[in-house]
Amino acid sequence: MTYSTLATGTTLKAGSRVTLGLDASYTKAKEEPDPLGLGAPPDILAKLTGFSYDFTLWHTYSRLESTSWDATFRAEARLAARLAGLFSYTYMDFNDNARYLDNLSGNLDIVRLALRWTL
Amino acid sequence: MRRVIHVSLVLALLAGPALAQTTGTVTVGGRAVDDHGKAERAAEYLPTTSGSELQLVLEAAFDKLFIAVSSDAREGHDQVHQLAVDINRLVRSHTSFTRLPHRLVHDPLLNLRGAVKMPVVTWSTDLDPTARYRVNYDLLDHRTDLQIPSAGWLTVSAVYREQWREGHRQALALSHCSTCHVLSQTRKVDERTRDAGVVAQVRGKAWKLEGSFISREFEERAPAPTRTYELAEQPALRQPLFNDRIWYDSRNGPLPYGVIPPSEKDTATLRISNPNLAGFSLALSAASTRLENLTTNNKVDFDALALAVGRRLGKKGTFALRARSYSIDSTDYFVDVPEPKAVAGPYAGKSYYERYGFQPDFLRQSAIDRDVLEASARLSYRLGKGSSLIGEYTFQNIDRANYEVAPDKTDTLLQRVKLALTARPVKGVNLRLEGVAADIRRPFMTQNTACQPGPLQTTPVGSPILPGSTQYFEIYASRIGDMTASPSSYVELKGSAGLTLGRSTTASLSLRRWDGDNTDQDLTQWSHTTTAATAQVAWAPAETFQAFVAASAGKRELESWVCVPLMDG
Repeated sequence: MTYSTLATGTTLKAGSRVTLGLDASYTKAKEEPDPLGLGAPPDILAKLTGFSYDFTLWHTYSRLESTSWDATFRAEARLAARLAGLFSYTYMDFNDNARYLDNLSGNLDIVRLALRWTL
Repeated sequence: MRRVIHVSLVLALLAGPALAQTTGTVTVGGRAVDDHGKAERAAEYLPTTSGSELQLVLEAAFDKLFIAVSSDAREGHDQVHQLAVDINRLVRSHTSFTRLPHRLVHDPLLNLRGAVKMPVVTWSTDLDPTARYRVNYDLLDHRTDLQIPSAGWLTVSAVYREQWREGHRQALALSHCSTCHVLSQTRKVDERTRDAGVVAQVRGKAWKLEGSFISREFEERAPAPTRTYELAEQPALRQPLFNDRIWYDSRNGPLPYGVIPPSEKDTATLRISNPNLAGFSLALSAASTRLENLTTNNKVDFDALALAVGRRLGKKGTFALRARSYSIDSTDYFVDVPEPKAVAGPYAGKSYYERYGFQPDFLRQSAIDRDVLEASARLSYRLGKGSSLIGEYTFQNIDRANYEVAPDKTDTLLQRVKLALTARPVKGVNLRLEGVAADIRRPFMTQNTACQPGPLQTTPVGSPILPGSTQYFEIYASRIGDMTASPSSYVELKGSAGLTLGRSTTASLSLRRWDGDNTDQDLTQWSHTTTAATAQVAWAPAETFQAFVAASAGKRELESWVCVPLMDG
C-alpha cells in the first residue's frame, strides 16, 4: 500500500473588512497484492479439469486505487460593527480508479452563505 | 424522542435569560449542496443535503453562575453541541451531544456471479440492488460534579453516556457450501449503548482516593435478518445425498443470521495516590469488570491491579516504574451440533458420527482467557536546555488458559527497549530521535492450520459420500503449517525536526519506519514494514497573510505465505 498527500492553505486580510482564504488537499492511494506464485506443476494442473487454477489475474481482484482532492474558498466581510457576512465554496472529489467491483467515484459542490452576529 | 427536539433551540433558550450578560457569536445561514455519483467515499461522514445552518458560541458570567454554550447544527444529521454550567464551583456540569452520518458501501457482489462449471457455480442475489446504506451516529456525554460546602474534601460525580447507531446496512448470508450462493439484503440498525455511573473522590492533604462504578447496557432493537436456505441436496444430481452433514435447509423455514445479543457490563475502579511519599510519587489502582451476554448468560470477567511509582533523581533525572497484572476469564460453552442422519446413499440411516467416527460437538474455550503481567521502567535525564535522554525497558508476559501458541506452550513473552533523544543543537533547530527494539518469544499464532504435506486423495472417488473419499475433517487434521499475523521481533525508528527559518517561517519534518517479522513458524513466514514521512512549511510574513504547504507519503508492505490446496471436487 502506498499513499501520498499534498495540502496547502492560505489566509489573506484584504483591507480592514475582508478576509479571504483558500485550502486544498490532494491524496493518492493504492493497495494491491503481489501476483500469486503457484508452485503446482503443469501436469498436475492439467488433471484438474473441473476447477480453474489460473491465478494470473488474482492480484487485481483486490486492487484499490483512488485519487481524491478537495478545495475550499472562504470569504468573510465585516458588514457592520457587530455583523459579518460569510461565504464559502467547497469542491470535493473522489475518483475510484480500480473499478473491479463497483465504481465509488463521486463529487460534491457545497456553497455556504451566513451572517454572524457578535454579541 | 429527545433527539427530535432541536438541541440548538434548547441551548439557546437556556442561555436566553442571560442574554444581557452574554458574550459570543451567533451565526445563521444556509447551505446548497449538489452531489454527483456516489457520496460513500467523497463524503463518508458529511451531510449531502441542502438546508439551514446555525452556530452559537455563547458565554454568560454572573455572580455565582457561569454558563457556556456552543452549538453547530447543520441540516442532514450533522450537529455538535456543548453546555457547561458552573454554580459557585459547587456544581460543575458538562454535557455534549454529537451526531454525524456514516455512509456505507453497498457491495453489488458482481464478482460472485461467474459460473465456473454448471451446475457447480458461485452465485449471488441482492434483494435490494439500489439501496444506499448509512448509519447515523449520535452520542450524548454528561458529567456533573457536586461539591458539598461543609465537606470540601469530597467530590461526587454522576456520569451518563448514551450512544445510538441507527440506519441500514448490507447484510450477507452464505449458503451451505460457504460461497456457492451469497444472499444480500438490507438490515436495519438500531443499536443503543448506555453508560450510567457514579464517581467519588476524596482528597486529603497528600492522599487522594477515587472510586467509580459504571454500568453499561447494550441492545440492538432491530430484528436480525433471516434467510431460507436452499434444500440440502447434491447440486448436480438433485439428490438428498448430503443430509448427514448439513444442519438446516429450506425445511427449517426462515432462519435468523448475524444475531446481535443484548449485553451488560459493570465496571468498578478504585485508585489511591500520593504525589510525595518520602520523595516518591505513588499510585495504586484496581479495576474489575464483568461483561454478560444476556441471551446465553456467557460472561467475561476482567480483574486488574496496577502500580505506578516515580521519583526524581537529583536535579536532572527522573525514574518511573509501572507494573500491571490482570486476568481475563470467560465462560466455557458446549456446542451441541445437530447430527441428522443420511436419507440416501450407501450410509442411509446413519449420522456423520456413526459413519466416520468424527465427533462434531465441542467445548468452546476462548483464547482470550489469560493471566498477564507487564511492567516498564523508565529513566530520563536532562542533558541541557531543551535536551534530554530517555531509556525505557518493558516486558509483558501473557499466559493463556486454553490456547497453545507452540507445542505445549501457552505463554508469550515480549521484551522491548526504547531510547529517545531530544536535542536543540543550535538555536532554531529541535530534534527528536527514537529507537525501539522488541523481541517476542512465542508470539500469537495458530498451530497446524495450513498446508498438507502430500496428496490425501490418491485414488479418485466419484463422490465425497462414497467409501474411500477423504473428508474435510481429515483434511483439516492433516495440516502441518503454522500461521500468524504477529511479529517475533521488530524495530521502530522515528525522527523529527522542527526548524525556525527567520522571523516568519517554520518548517518540520518527521520520519517513521517500522520493520517486523516472524520467522519462528515451521513452514511459512510473515513480515510487515511501514515507512511514513511528513513535511510542512508555514509562512506568515505579515499579520494579514499566512500560508502553509504540507506533504506526506507512506508505504506499507505485508508478506504472508499461504498454501493453496488443489482439489478436484
